[in-house]
Amino acid sequence: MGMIKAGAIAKGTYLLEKNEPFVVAEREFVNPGKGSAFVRLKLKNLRSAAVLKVTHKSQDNCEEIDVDEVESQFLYSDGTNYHFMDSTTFDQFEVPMKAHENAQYYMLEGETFKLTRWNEETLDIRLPPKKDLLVAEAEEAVKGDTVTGATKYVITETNLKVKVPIFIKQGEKIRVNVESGEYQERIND
Amino acid sequence: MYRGIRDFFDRCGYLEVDTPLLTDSPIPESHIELFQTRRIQPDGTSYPLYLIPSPEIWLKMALASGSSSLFQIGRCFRNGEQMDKWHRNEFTMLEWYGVDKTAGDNLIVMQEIIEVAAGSVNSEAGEEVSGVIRKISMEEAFREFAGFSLESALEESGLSEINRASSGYPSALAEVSDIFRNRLKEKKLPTGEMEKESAADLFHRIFLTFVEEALPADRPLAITHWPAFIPTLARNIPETPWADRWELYIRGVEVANCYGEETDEKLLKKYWEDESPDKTNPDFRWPQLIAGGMPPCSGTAVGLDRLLALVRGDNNLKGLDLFPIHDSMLR
Repeated sequence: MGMIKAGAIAKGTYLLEKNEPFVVAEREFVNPGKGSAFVRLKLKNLRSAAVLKVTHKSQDNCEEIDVDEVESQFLYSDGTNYHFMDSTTFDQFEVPMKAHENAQYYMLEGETFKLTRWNEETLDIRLPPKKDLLVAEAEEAVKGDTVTGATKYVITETNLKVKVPIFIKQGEKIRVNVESGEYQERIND
Repeated sequence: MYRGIRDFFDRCGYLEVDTPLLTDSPIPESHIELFQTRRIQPDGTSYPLYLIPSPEIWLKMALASGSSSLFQIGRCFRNGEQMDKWHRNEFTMLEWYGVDKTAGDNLIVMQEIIEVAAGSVNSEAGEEVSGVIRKISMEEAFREFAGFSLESALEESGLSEINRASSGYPSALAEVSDIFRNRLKEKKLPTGEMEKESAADLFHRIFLTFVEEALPADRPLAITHWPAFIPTLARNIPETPWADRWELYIRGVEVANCYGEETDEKLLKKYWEDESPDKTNPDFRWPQLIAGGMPPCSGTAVGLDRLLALVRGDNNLKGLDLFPIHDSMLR
């Protein structure tokens, strides 16, 4: 466990607050001008996914979690847990889905991810910023509907519902922003 | 926008001034980091000069020397800032002083400045930017969002009867600090090293955690009546624990700060003493000069980059960065 000044905390830093592990989702500096500098943090609890907002003085000491990064293969999910296998030791382990619900839409069976581990507990699944996914279900575009900016919803191979331009067809690949879940572009392999 | 603001002040009879960016003796503000440089004399010896964090010192000097109401639009420099959404090391500030005006009078001027700014960019921003400024006192804000009366805390500690120069002041401050600490503990907040913290820091902890983020943002909002124990150059409203001061927020972003100015020499000196980096050797030239002749007046400082970004409907200052500097580029 290391100490870190609140002013040095960045988005993605792992912190221990009230004995619970958190990752920093948002960080904002606040200078009241006539007072000390403060940092306002939005933290995500890595066990419950609950959000905690805290304000620290830049000079406050916070507890940073020293995490290990482990390359692991995603095997499958059983609806409650994700099952992974450590790529080096071949040990298999589970990660509760509850804390990382978003990950299910961006992991395909057999793919390898970096996992953040701390005391035998998986804190975080490092997802790429963008992910290319196959469109599994798409409605046909209505003929004659050529209004610019028209959109529709499709379902990807990972069961993610995405709002896309009307020209996207079933079986095509689209690039999705993992953080926002928004469509970015069509991928032509 | 700049042209519109200049025209506005010109019509109102304000004098535009253009004061130096370098000074050898800035107003001490313990929370502002300065950019320091050195003046090298022809004989090779040198002494430090600082880039101004605001033109305040010069404008007050001009007022103390008999100037009428005046304004300046100019660059200001603050070191140690994070270059994030709403902070830059270098920015443009509008600062104006209305002689014989109060902070309340300047709020009316502020409304007009927003209108000028919005008009200059054909802003399509709505009520949240150009609506009528909503006034809320710090006491109202605390009752509503922090769940307790700040005024009672200040009265309980005795801060409503005494000022910065009184002998009982430090113990009253310690008392109000205890009240704040207990409030923070009740809310189970991360306490940091609170035992050592000043009353102003504890106040800001509560303000930033519970109040600032909860403020309504559907119209511009001015928080008035700040606690006088926060060390500033705003005057005390007599017989109250409040300073004649407001801060303006637009869409939750702090845009302007206004004081009814302190002109009492004893209190000015006390401020200089408390805030000077070298407490044993404060530079007392300014308080003497200012107090000597400064008329009753109110001054307002506006971050023009922020105002412009907000009336444009931007969510940060990026759209105004012509030549951005990033720490990572230069490191």
